[in-house]
Amino acid sequence: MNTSKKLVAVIAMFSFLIIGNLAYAQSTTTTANGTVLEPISLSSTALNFGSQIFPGTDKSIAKTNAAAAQFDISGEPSKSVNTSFTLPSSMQADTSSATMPISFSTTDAGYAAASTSQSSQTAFDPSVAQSLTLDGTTGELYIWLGGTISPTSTQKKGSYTADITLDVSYPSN
Amino acid sequence: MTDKRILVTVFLLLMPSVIQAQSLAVTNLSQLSFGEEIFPGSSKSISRTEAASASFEVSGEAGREVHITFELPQELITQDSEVMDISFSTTNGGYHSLQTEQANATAFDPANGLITTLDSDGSLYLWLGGTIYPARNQAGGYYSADITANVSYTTN
Repeated sequence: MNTSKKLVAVIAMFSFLIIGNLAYAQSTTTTANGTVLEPISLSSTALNFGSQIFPGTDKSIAKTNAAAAQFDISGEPSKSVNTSFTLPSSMQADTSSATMPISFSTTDAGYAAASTSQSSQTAFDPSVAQSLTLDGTTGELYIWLGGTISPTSTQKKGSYTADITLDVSYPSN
Repeated sequence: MTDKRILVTVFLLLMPSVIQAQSLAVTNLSQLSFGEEIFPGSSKSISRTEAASASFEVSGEAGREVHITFELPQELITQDSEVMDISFSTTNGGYHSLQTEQANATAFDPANGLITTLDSDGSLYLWLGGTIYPARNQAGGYYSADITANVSYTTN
């Protein structure tokens, strides 16, 4: 064997050694994965007692009335959501410190799978948290809320407002 | 000794190194799966002892010390490039010489890696958990990211 052939042979041998050393390090790849449900979206309209409230006379808005508050909810079809209201006990005058009582009966809230079903909604107590199911096809849910205001006979004239909060969430992971 | 004899001898001396090197392997057995019902706005954790954790099998030379490192993602991503945070705690890694002992796996920090010894049959099993943090308005869909496990012999 001449010198150049010997050199090639030795290089070939060391190549085995190098390949061998590289092969000591091994690796494999997997994934972390998961599927997130559609996030909940929520919009609402006000519970509107109108512009003619007479002192000393209670005024009620039924949940089936067009003036009832409406909450439009959407999310992952067929999934259940937890709902809870934070309800006011009085309304505040916009331009003074006067207040006006507001109350909600055990049937003042209702829900349905379609916005067109307000008249046939299922009643529930708005002071009690609920677990409701989003529509299996659209992922939608509609909630309506009525209530009663009780202006005193000396109720100060003016516009009154109060916040009504509806929390909607999926169950925890 | 002739040149040919020298070369054959060198070759035979080198072959065990090659064969020995090929005996080290790491195989993925399962993915780290957070499931198909991840609720936006609520973090979700998979521990190293759960069936949904990622698992790996290392096989090599009995009694040899190995160094294990992980390449961990910080985010999972959708095909639409939506991202979701993921993290790994200091106890999210686990190892044991027996595959049936996941519940009793010894914890380690997957970010720091692990140096341990293969058992008498050359086996080692690894598990990896983690936590994801979907935002309240997290876009719905399938999220994923690669996790790579690297294994090598130490010089010990």
